[in-house]
Amino acid sequence: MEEVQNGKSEAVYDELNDPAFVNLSSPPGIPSDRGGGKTFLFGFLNAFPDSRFTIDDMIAEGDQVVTKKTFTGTHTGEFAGIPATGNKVTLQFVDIMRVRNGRIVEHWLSMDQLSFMQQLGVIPTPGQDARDPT
Amino acid sequence: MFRRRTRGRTRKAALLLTGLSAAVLSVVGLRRRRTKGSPMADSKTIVRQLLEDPWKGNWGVIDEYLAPGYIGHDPSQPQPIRGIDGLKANFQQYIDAFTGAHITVIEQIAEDDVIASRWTASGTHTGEIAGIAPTGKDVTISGITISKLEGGRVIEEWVNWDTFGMLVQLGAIPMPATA
Repeated sequence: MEEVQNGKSEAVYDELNDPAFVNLSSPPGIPSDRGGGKTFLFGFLNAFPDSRFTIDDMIAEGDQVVTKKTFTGTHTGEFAGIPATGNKVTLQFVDIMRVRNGRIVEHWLSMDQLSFMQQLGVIPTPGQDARDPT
Repeated sequence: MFRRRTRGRTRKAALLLTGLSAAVLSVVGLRRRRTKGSPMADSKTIVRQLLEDPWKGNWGVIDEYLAPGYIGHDPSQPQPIRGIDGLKANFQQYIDAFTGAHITVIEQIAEDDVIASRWTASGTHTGEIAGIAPTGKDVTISGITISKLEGGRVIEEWVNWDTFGMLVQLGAIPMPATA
């Protein structure tokens, strides 16, 4: 996972994700298959070229693995229709993945989208000016 | 003779005490069972009850299963949630704002004393929340809670839930343009 998300390797993405991969939490308009997941992930990584994921915690039971991650990155490229803001973003992510024969077949992501949008200044933070670059 | 009688009396008293404490213990046991739902709840059950039961009016599970030094990390809250009263106050703001608010745990993944629970929450928006006046809208969102237990009580939690989805469903922010 670190090779894909920090090393930005599309080859490792294909190796780790099964052709039958399903993203159970794909955003509206993004296909839930392996290709859709790849487009979304690399679209995101390209918008934050200095992005860094740190795995804080991992929980494994049966064929499921949960990772809790902290993401940091600077928004220097367009993402989901939001032009580059230059803002530094820190986010908490939780992934639940199902692994079969060494490959990921199912993925469930929970990220704090609201604070993501607030840190990009797209949505105002309560008590703060949305345009305030700090 | 005297000694034997004393011994007999002592034994009777001891037996009486044993019987009494057994009766007390069984009453306590029954009471504990009634609040717990199960006499020996495992970690997954403890976390499930903590997530689901307060919304059904059972606040006792928070007193029973939350460690007094509890810390909850929720990116939607400006400060960590601290202690039993802190968690109750956090739940209360949603209970006040959403009629019929409830949480359903869909699945749990556990390793040692760390439990991940994926859940959905639903309710009808009939009270003010985050500065948004009641809309009467039905809202369903999903989330994942990671709970760390210590000595059978939850000591720390990390919550990720779809705050964005809630605001979109309430009409407070527009639905993002689809790609």
